[in-house]
Parts: sequence; structure tokens; C-alpha cells
Amino acid sequence: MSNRSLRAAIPALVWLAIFLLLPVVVLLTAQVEASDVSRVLTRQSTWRIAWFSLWQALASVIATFALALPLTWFIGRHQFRGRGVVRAFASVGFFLPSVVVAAGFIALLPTRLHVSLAAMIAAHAYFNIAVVLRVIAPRLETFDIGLLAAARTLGAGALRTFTSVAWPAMRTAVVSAAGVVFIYCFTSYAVVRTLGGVTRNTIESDIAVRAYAIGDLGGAVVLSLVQVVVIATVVLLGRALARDAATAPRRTTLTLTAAAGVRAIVGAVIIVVTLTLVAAPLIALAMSSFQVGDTWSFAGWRSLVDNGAVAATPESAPADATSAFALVDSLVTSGRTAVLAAIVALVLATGLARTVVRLGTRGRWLDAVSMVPLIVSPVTLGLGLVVTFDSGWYDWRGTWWFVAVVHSVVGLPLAVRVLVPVWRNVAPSLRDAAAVLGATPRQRFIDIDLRLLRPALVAAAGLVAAVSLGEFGAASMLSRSGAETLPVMIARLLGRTGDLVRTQAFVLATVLVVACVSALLLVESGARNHSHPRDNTHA
Amino acid sequence: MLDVVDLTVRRGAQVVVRRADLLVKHGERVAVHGPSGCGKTTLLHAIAGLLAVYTGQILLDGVDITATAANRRGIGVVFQDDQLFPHFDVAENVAYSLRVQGVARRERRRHADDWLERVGLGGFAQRTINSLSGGEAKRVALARTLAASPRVVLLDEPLTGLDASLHDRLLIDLRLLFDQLQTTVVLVTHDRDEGAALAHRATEFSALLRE
Amino acid sequence: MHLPDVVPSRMRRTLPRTRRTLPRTRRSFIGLLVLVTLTAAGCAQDASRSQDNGGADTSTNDSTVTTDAPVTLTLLAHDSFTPSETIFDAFTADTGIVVRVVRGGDAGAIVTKAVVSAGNPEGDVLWGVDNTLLSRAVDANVFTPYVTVHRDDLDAAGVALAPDGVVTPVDSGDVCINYDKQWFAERRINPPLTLQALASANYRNLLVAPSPLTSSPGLAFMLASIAEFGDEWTQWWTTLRDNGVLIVDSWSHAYYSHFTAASDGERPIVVSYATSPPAEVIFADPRPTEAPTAVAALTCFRQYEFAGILRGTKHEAAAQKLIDFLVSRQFQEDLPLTQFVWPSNRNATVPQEFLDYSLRPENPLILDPTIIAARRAEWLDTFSDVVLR
Repeated sequence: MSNRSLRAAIPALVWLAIFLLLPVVVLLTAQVEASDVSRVLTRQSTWRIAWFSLWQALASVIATFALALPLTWFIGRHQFRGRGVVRAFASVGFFLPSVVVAAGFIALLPTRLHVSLAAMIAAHAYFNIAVVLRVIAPRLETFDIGLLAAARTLGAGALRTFTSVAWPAMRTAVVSAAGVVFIYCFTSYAVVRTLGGVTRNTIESDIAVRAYAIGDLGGAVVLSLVQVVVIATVVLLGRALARDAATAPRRTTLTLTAAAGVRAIVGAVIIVVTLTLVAAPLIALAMSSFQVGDTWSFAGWRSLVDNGAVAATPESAPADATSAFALVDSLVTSGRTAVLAAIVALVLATGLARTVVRLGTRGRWLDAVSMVPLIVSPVTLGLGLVVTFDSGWYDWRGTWWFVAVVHSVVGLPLAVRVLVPVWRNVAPSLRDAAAVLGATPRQRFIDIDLRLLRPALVAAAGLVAAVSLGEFGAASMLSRSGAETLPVMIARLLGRTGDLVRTQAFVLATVLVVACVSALLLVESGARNHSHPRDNTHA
Repeated sequence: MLDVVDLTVRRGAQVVVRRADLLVKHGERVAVHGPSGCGKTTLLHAIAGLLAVYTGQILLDGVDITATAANRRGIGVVFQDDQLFPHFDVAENVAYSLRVQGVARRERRRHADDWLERVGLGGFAQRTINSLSGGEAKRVALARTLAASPRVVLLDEPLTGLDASLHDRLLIDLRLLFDQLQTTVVLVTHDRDEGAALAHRATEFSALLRE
Repeated sequence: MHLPDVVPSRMRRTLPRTRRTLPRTRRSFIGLLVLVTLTAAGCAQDASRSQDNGGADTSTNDSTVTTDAPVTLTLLAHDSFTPSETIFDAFTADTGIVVRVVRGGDAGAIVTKAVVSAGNPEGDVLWGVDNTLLSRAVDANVFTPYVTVHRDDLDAAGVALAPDGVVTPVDSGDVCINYDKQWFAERRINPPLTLQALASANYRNLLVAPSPLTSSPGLAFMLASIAEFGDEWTQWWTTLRDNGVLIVDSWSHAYYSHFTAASDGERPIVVSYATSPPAEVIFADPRPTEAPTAVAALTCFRQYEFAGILRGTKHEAAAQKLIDFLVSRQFQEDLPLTQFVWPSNRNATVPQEFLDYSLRPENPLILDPTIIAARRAEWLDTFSDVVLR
């Protein structure tokens, strides 16, 4: 029986072996020499960049918490109308591509701040509000305030109550959230490149610079390894810190209080301020797409349907000469890459998820394997693919589907994460019932599993599509000239000067926002359509 | 026609059914009593083919079906918690056995309507599973099982959990239906009155086990 | 068959029909279907495009136009490649070859792309690899050599840099310090005329330069400092850094976002081209009598730009014709006023206004290309360590 259940996972495992394991192995063995290792590790700039990555990530964590905690507190402890909407809206930053957020900040901030540490950290905080909200709020929601009262009656002052009762209960969630935010900011690439400028590099962006601009592949790979080590350390640290509170009783009842009086006012202020901050870059982006320089104009949007190739005329300054890039191509490229990546990832993830569920506790190793793509940096992965598949019949560089392949690898863990819990909930006895009614194993899979999974399948597809639309690191390595994905195109346009060019960047970013949000609405509708098994206590 | 011979069923390392024998004649209804957790449901699932048998044999009309897959045994099961497919409506649930045989939709509907009438749920065809009450769900489960024309029907605690009036009503209906269809039935229940009302003969689960 | 009347009639209720399918999931399937259709359409478009490129593989060494499907050559170039819109029409009329220009970023980016896809190129001809980046491309075996028919008309220095015709020189320019004349005049400060002078405290916070890691003129500027100062170049840069030099990612950002003469920026000294002053004049309306910016001639580094046939192209013969056209008088005479570079074809006439306002330094700084080839990566590393902190 176990052989047969593993069979479903084989396509996914083979795929990962070819497009994840192989490139990494090739990078390690073919590109790295011992001299590279010593050279990179002894060079001062390596440690300077590592240090910068570290402290900017820490600063970003602090900024994120500062921005998100007030709202998290209010949402987590109070009941009010529109609570779900506020929460969803505040989380939008997380699902937007990093390039889009960078573009939004450029649209919003004065020129002086476009390339600045403040902008970079603010952008990081912007993304990660969702993490804080989604990790800490649930903990707050089920917090037993009776404990606080008990502490008070026992004579504890406010501070004591906090440190001895409130904080321990929240500690896991806070540490978890901080850890996740840290990792995201540590491995930041697009934001650092666009808003940080040339003097600021995280390890991830340095890998790209090293591989691309300097041509030092060996050094780039060594840096990737350094990054993996740091991430692994942080993850393990987080696990260790969180382990203590694993014994805390898990409650599922919400203990929210109604928002009234002063609290309501404070809450309203917090909500308005936070949501305004969240909406500001997006509104600025949309508005700026209708402006060229200081004048209102549709030229940016019109150039979407233009086919580019407008040469310099005496009237236009040289910088604007390249003003009409063929934008439509990147729309098509991104769209079909996302669709292909979603389909491939979905098919593979279905097989994997099925096996993971079938194997039960023995399937945990498989679950872990499916998460491996998350620790390999996309830039490194793109690099590995370029270096591995470069000759003969397997020379796939520059093919239109190669980027989709990378995205399917990157999206696979997310799809598996969505499918496994839902699949676990499909009662095996439903399959039994189908079996005694005469259904073959294949029929059982189609009629029961797939049917019940359909909302989750849609959600997983939407998630992978959204990730693919926004992915920047690998796409920048693999995109073909003239057929770049939207994020790569946006970054390129932002890198040029010229009013029309800048507006075009904003136009594309706005389109990308709409596309991502649509993909995510798919995800949400999938989650809500999840059919519930019948409640048998009905009489 | 159902002959269980020296059957032993294990769950992991633990023996749950130790050397059980059971003989059920054609058209006979047998009730198996015993406290919850004694292994009666396990025995039922083993007979249906949902659990692997450790040692022993199961014969149906003289044919050894011990190694046959559950979907080919021709043995129907009405589960204790119904196990109705939540994503199909009532009619599709009832006609599921026909669906897997490739019967066309219209034909399936006809059969479903037919069976739903028989169990007293005429007109319930388009209902969703979530909207059914306990008693209605049980009837749908029954109709679904019977629509597959099984040679033997296994019932796992069919009336447990229903409140008193529904319980009695369903008891009567089941009895009448089985009398009419002459179904071969094995039913397990902890309620001896139920067993006495529905079955031709009753036995203790422990009495099935060899020493 | 009906149950006997023992069964209470209450059991035989009929109930209203309920809605069957969930519209939401259906809607999402439709959405998915639309996207899949778009994908298919995109694939078809791509297939036909590659057919254009890979289809007519018949032309090997013919000089006559065949009657098969027309060949489309893809010319990969950097973002500053902006010839006149109709410049290729004559070529197409002559040879039947259609030229499709694809711009892929700045010079460094397209060279890197070419290196990464060597042997399986994204196009047929590459325009825009310059002498600072040439070694990288040649080492990676990016090009197929071809000696153009116009070889003898071309600038000898450029040809010497690319022996055996691995690439063909198409134009040249000089990367120099440019400064805003009016800014310095208003404050009665002497503008910097040499690289050494730039290190002076007088010019604190006045210089903006692109990074050599991400910009080709930036790289040229770094090489200029190495040519000028030899091994002391890092000291000079350290002084510059302490003097508040602003390093940005690209030339266009430096010039159009920070240079006082071309933007609202605050830096009156910028790394740019010797031909930037004429551009300032020619594109201004009304035209000033003299250029608002000037070039520090002693800081110039000569940059040669090349075009080459990419190894692995399926249209080598057609690509050769394109190279010939790119160095022909007709194309070369378009260069000064569209891209503000000096044509490499010595027979090409340069427009008078171009000559009026620009300056061709006679002794620009140069570095031996073999040394550039050997040490470029190391120098970039050092620059990154010393300056980009």
C-alpha cells in the first residue's frame, strides 16, 4: 500500500530533483572553488553586507511592529462591525509584489526620499503588517482576560501583570511573527534594489550584483550558502524560543469585548491612520499612472496598446527617446507565465499532498521536502538554472516557459500548504462509503477527493499565480529580452529617467496590483466555499 | 449465504476481532449485540472489505471474497454516521452506485426518485445534505445503499442517536422495508430491543468468537 | 412502488427545489478558462515569431533575394539605441531583411544577458558592447567573428581593439566630467579641470557619478581613474567618498535627476559624455548660442562601441549584411544627432552643429584592453568595498 501511495508524489519529487536539486548541486560543484570560499569569507565587504542585512532586518521588524501593533491590538481584542474587512485591507501589502510596493513609495514620496534607508524600511514594514496581524491577532482573540483579573486580585501591579501573565501568553506569537518578518526583510531584494540604491546591499541583492555585474559566480554561490546558514539559524532560534509556550492551553473561544466609549474612539483613530498609510502608496500609484510629469494625461495608459519602437525625435530629449517600450509584451508574458506556473504547481502539489495525507505521521519527511524551495533564494535558483541548462537538447535558457518552471518550483510549497490541511479533513470514511457503493480507487479520487478539494484547488492555483505575477529575483535572471515579466519590466522602467517612462512604470504597477488582487480574491473565494461536513447532532 | 469463518482482524498490533464465525442465510436478518468498543464495527468493516483480514475467510454464496476489493464485493454498508457525500445532492447520493457503473443521468434520477419514495422521502431529490435532519439523513443513507442492489446489507448502529419519536418511526419503516425486499442483513447495535424488532435472530458478539 | 399506509403521510413531504450549483466556483473556472485562452494565444504568437526567425534557413551565401518567407533579424541593443525611425527601411528594401530592434536594458545588462545565453542567443546581432565590457563577452565566446566589407573605412583604433573581426566598431565617444557653467560662474568658483582637482575640498558634495557595477559610463569613469592614478586609484576614490560623491545606479539618473543643468538636482558636476553639451544645445528650444555645460577634457576616457554577430544565430549571412549596413555611411551618418556619438566610419559626414558644440579630446585616457580583461572583476570588487559603503 505504501508503494502505491508514494507513486502519486513521484512527479513532484522528480520535478524538484531536476529543477531545484540539480541546479543547486551544479552551482556548488561546478562554480565554487576553495579559493572562492576563502576569498568571500575573508573579504571585509562580505561581513559589512551581512551586517547591513542583519540590522536593517531588525530595524524593519521594529518598524513593522510599531506600525502594526496598535491595529493588531484593537482588532485582536475588540468586536466591531467591519472587523474582517479592516483586517483584509490592512493585509493587502503582503500580497503585493515587492516591486509594486517600491513603485508605490516612489509615487508617494518626494524625490529626495526615493533612494533612502527610510523608504526601504518603510516598504518592509508595509509588507509585513499582514504577518503581525495574522500571527498575533488570533492569539489576542482567544486571550483569557480573566487571567489578568486574577493577577490583579492577587496584588500584581499593571507592569507585573503584563510581564508575568500577558507577555508569556503572547510570547510565542510575537516571536513567531518577528521571526517571519525578519526572514522576509533579511532576504529582501527588489525593495533594496529600487529604494535602497547602490550603496545598500543585502546578501540577496549582492548575490545578484556579484553574479551579474561582476561575473563572479563562485562568490555568488558562497554568499547564498552564507544566507542559508543565517536563515536556518534564525528559524531554529525561533523554534527554540517558541517551544516553551507549546504547553499553553489552546483555546478556541473568542474573548472579544465590544468597542465602546473611549476605546471606540481610540480604535477608530488607529484604524483610520493605519488604513490611510496602507492605502496611500496604492492611491499614489494609481493617480501617478494618469500623470506624465506634472500634467494629467492618458499617455501612459495609451502606450499599453502602442507597440513601442518610437525613436528619438528632435523634439524629445534623449532620455525620453526610449519612451515607448512594448508594454503589451510584458503583460502577455506575465499572464501566461502565471497561468502555466499555477497549473504545473497545482498538478504536482495535488500528488504530493495526497501522499502526505495518505502517509499520515510517516509523511512528515515528505512534507518537509516540499518546503525546501522556500529556503533557496530565487536569485540563486535562477542562477543555478541558467548555469545548468545551457547546452544541447536541454538548453532551455530564454525559452518562454523557463520562468514558469521556476515559479512552479517556488509556488509548490504554498500550494501544498493549502491542500494538505483541507485534504486531511476529507473523512476517509467518505471514501469507504464510496468504495462499498462500487467506486474504483480512481473514481473515489475524482468523485470524492477532487470534488471536495475543488475550492482548495482554486485557492492554491490563485496563490501560485499571485506569487508568479510578483516574483522578481528569478525572473530578472531568466526573463528574455523583449519578453520580460511585469516586475522585471517595472524595475527596468523605474531605473530610467524620463516622465513618460516613469508613468509607464506606474501604469504597469497598477495593472499588476489589479491582477494580484484578482488572483487573491480567487484564493479567498476558494477558502470560503469550503464545504463543511454534515453536522450529525441535528435531530 | 454469508459465511464468516475463523476471522481475525487486527488494528495495528492489537487484535480486535479474534476468530469470529458468523453464518447468515439468504434473506435472514441477524443482529449482533455487544457493548461499544468490543469490535463489532471492526467486524462489519472487515466483512465489507474496508479493513484487511489477518486470518480467516469470508465467503459469499460459496465464493471466497476475502481478498476481493471492497468495491467489488456487492456488500452494502449503512454507516453509523451516514457518510453522505456533502458535495452531492440527495439524488446524486442515492444514485452514486449507478453513477460508478456509468448509468446515464436521467436513468440514475429515475432510480433515485424511486428509492427515495420507498424510504418515504419522495421529493427530497434536490435537497442538499446539509439541510437534512438526522432521520432524513439515515433514510437517504439507506436508500443509497439499497439502490446498489447489494447482496448483503450491513447496518452499523442504525438507530443510535435519533430521538425517541424518530427512532420508532424509522424502526417501523426499516422493518417493513426489509420484509418487503427480503434483504439479507447483518446489523450491529448495543440496543437489544432494536435487534429484537428488526432481526430474525440475535447473538452476542462474544458468542461469535471461538475460544 | 409505494410504502403501505403504515407509514405516516407526513413523511412524504415535498419541498421546494434548491439552487444547485455554486455560481462562485463556476465564475472562477470561467476566469481560469479565459486566462488559459490568453496563454494559448500567447503561445501561438510566440510560435509564429520563432517561426519567423527559424523558418527561412535557406540563405547561406546568396546575394540575391529569395522568394521564401522574409528573414527577420533581431537586433539586441541597449536602451540608448535610438536611431531614426525609418533608418532600416532602405536596408529592408535592399535585402528583404526585416530588422526588429529589442532593447534589453543598459549596456552592462545586455552584455550579461549575452554572456548568460552564449550559444543560444536571444537575437542575431548585438549592438552596444563597449571596450570596457568587451573582454567579458569575448571570454564567454558570445560572438561569431565577421570582418565587414567596410573594414578599411573604419577608425583604426577601434578596429585594433577587436582583432579578427570578433566584433565590429560602430561608434565611439568619450566619458568625461561635465559641469554646469552657470552654476560655477554664479558662485565664482573655478570648475574642476582634472581628475586630481576633483579631490579638492572645494568640490565637496558636488559630484554625482554612476556606479561602475551597473553603468557602462560609470565603469569607464572608474577605468579613467585607474588609467590616471595607477595603483593609487583607491586612495583617490576614498577622498572622493569622503568628499561626498553621490553614487547612483545609472547615467540617466545621474544626469537627469541630479545634475543641476538638466534637472532640479543639486550636483553641478556629473560623469557624462563629451557630446552632452551639444545635446543640451540641439534639443533646447530656443537654441542658446553656446552650450550651458562644458567638458573637462583632461578627464576623458575613450569608449568604443561595437556590434557583433551572436554565436548560435540561425541567420548568419543575413546578420553579416546587417553588420555591413550598420557601418555603412548611410547608417553612420544618422548616429551623431540621434545617439550623440562619433561614427566609426571615417567617410561619414558629421553634421556641422555637432562639430560646432562638441569637443573631441585628442589624448583621452585609455587602458590596455588585456589589462582590463584581466583585472576588471577584481577592480569592481575593490570599488564595491572601498566606495559603496
